Amino acid sequence: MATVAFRSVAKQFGDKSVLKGLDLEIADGEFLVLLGPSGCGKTTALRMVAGLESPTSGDIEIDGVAVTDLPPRERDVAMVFQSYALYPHLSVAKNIEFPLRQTQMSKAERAAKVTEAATMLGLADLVHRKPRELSGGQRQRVALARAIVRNPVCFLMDEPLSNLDATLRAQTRSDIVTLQRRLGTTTIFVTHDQVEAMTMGDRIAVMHEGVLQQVGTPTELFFNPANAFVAGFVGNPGMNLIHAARGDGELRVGEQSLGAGPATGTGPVLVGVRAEDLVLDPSGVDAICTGVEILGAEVHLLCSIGEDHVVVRQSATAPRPGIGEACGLRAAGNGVLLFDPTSGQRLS
Amino acid sequence: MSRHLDRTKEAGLAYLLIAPALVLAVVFIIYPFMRNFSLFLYHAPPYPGLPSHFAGLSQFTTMLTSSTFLQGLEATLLYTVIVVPTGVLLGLILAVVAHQKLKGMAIYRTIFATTAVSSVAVAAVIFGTFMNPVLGLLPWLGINPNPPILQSPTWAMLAMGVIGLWQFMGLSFILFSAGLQSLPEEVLEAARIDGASEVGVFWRVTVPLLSPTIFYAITVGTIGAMYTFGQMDLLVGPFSAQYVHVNTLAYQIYQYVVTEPNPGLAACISIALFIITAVITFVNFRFLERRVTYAN
Amino acid sequence: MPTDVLDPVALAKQRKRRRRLSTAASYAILSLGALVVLFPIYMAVVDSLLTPVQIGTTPPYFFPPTPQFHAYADAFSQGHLGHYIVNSVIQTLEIVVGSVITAVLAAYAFATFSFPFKRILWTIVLGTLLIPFEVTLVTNYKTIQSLHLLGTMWALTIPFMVSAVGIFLLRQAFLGVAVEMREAAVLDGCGPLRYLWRVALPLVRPQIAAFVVIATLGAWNQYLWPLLLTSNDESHRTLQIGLKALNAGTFQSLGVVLAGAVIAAVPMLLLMVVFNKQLVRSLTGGAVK
Repeated sequence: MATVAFRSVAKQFGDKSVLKGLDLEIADGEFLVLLGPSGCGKTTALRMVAGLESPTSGDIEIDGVAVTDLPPRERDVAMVFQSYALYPHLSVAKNIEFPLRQTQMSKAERAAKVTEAATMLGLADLVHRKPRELSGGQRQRVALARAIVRNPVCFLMDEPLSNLDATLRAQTRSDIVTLQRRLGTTTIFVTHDQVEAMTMGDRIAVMHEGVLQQVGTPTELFFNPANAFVAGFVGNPGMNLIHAARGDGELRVGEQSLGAGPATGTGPVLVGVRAEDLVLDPSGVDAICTGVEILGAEVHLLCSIGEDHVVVRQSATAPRPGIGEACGLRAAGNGVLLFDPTSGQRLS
Repeated sequence: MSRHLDRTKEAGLAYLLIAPALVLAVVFIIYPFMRNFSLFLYHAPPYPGLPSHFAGLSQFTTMLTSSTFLQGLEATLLYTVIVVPTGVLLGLILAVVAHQKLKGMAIYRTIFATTAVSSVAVAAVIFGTFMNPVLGLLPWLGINPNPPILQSPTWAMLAMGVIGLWQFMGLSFILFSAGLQSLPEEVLEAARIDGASEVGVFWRVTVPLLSPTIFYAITVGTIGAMYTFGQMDLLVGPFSAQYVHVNTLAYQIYQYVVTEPNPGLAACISIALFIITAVITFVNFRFLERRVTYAN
Repeated sequence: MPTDVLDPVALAKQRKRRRRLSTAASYAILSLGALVVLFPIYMAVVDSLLTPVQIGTTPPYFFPPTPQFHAYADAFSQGHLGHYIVNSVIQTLEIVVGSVITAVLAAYAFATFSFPFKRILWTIVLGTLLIPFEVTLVTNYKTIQSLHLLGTMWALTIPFMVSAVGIFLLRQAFLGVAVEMREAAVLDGCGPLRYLWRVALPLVRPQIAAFVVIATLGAWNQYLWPLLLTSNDESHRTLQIGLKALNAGTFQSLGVVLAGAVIAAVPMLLLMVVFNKQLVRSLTGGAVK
């Protein structure tokens, strides 16, 4: 168990800046998700905790001690790779045992630990197989067993679920969370899938283009996004962002009213409306329906308001326009958020 | 109906396309190989022009037990032992060291690969001048045995072996460099995170993962070494037959084709050399292939 | 727990020092290896630029004080290397062109069509990989004799115009061309030969290039067969055999012989530098990305 901290960590590859001054503290026993689109720097940040990359500037701390110069083998962390990186020439048992061979344990002690880890992950029957004889889900569990077997202070997971098929993914998600709660080990989990992030993380750190956008619980991120990027990225679908202007207590697109606005303030804004808060209303803003996704009891209407593309959630039984038809949209409810159209920052 | 015609047309075209390669292969590779098995049964006639005299297997068995053959076999095997294990080991170590992300590695990689493209004549000539008892470099270093290296029963094959090793190292290096590049980098990273030292990573992960390449290098190296001919011909020349210590089996074949034509005997040696090399390769295969771990 | 640290600063310094040591060790090993590998070639070049007197002195010169280029001129004039180079070029060209053509045609057929005895024929082709040239020496000489090709360039080249390595590499390449390509071509009314020429061949160009490089290397460096045929036939002698003759001659100074070696080696060194990727690809049997 340990805390992990990034202190002004920056990373450059040549003249490309991948991480720009990351400051982040992860509490002991916390499950922290690094979330962001590809190229945002999340995997680089993770690899720096592992010691596979060195920061160009800044420090990595584990339990308050700067480990930036320590090689991976001295950091007592374990990593689960996206491709699992199992040793193809070793059996499952020997794969799990590998990290223990560097310790002072006796052969019997090692065997006991291996059995313990294998049983915990339901691999007891497979211990003599080689990785190439296993399914994707089984390989992933071997990777997890190898990570937990020596009880490290921190688990690092690099998109471990992305190679699994959808049904297996959901099951494995909850398995990993249960495992982590049981072991209480600090975990840093990297993903680009916000559903994974929201369902698994104690806290989520959203990253974009090397910059930390916001850190918070799933609820905080969902209801209180700090900027337009987080608002649009989190949630399924993400928050709709519509260019409008505020004034006189109204939010207007052109001459039409999108909905009620703040009492003060004028000028252009980016209006954030969740899909369930956007409703069909002939007296609202002009829009064109460009697509319909039927999800069962619920439908998503894909519409365009000028250049902005929005999603409207409504019941499948409610009336809806056809594709290509014009319609009117209005922001109902009081969950409307306002953002600065240039910087994306949240306006209070 | 038309489909049947199409298939016949297709087959016909296929045969036509294969024909040039197949004809050449049969005429210049398969037929000559097979013919050895009839040639070796005949003694050479005492005078050219007279018919050969059927000898059956006796010629073969006599040759197998002859001192010339046995010494030639010993020389060939000695050469192979000098060249192959050392070449594989050196190529592997150099490839691993040159594989790191340090500056200038590309230059080193180019340098090590150069010996693989040198011809046997070039290598033999250059090393030969080093060993020249009067003008060479070795005398300066104090290495001036009497008799001179190339005529010394103890040192001649070693010298040839060094030449062969110099050449094989380049190929070995290229093979292992390529092999290292195709290793899954993440598996090595996992090993480092799991606590293995660099040496530990090398022996316990890199080498097992490279085992197919190691096996290939040993096989290719062995076959090349068993058939070695060029250095002996160029450095010791036409008197090689007297120089029993460097009279490799391939050289003996050449001798019985050109200098003392005796097709029957040449065929005998060809067959023997082929079988011996095949057995060694097969043993290699059985022994090593079991340890070869294929990642996938 | 991370190792309990008494003085993090000192420990960090020690680690940085250890990393620098292993880097230094790596460079040391590599430089030693490079020295061993380059030394023969280097000395060959150096000696080729020395006068005969300088060559014989001890301690030997490791750098030519007054480079003498006439060794190279002598190699060409007395050693007839110019003539041999022409022969080598012709020989290599014929072998490479011939083996590429036969390999492309055969590989295309094996990869694309189905026909009776296909498996047997493929086994025969692969089988030739197991038969080294030395074992076919006896009969091939006789064959060339019977075909009355002795004393021609064809004798040197025809036996090598088939290469199982080439057929293997190119078959792999053709197999890698998606089946849909051929089906689309058939729908467009394209016959199999036209498809080969216009679609498949351009797509396998990298593998053809790889094979050309290795075939060139093999042909240029050939020793046994050219020796057999041209030991007594100066007019068709190739460069490698010319080098042997130069070495065996008693009137040549060491410098001239080494100049000949350098001349013989340079083309393939250039080949390796320029076509490195293709060379590696073909040497590893097409297994490299």
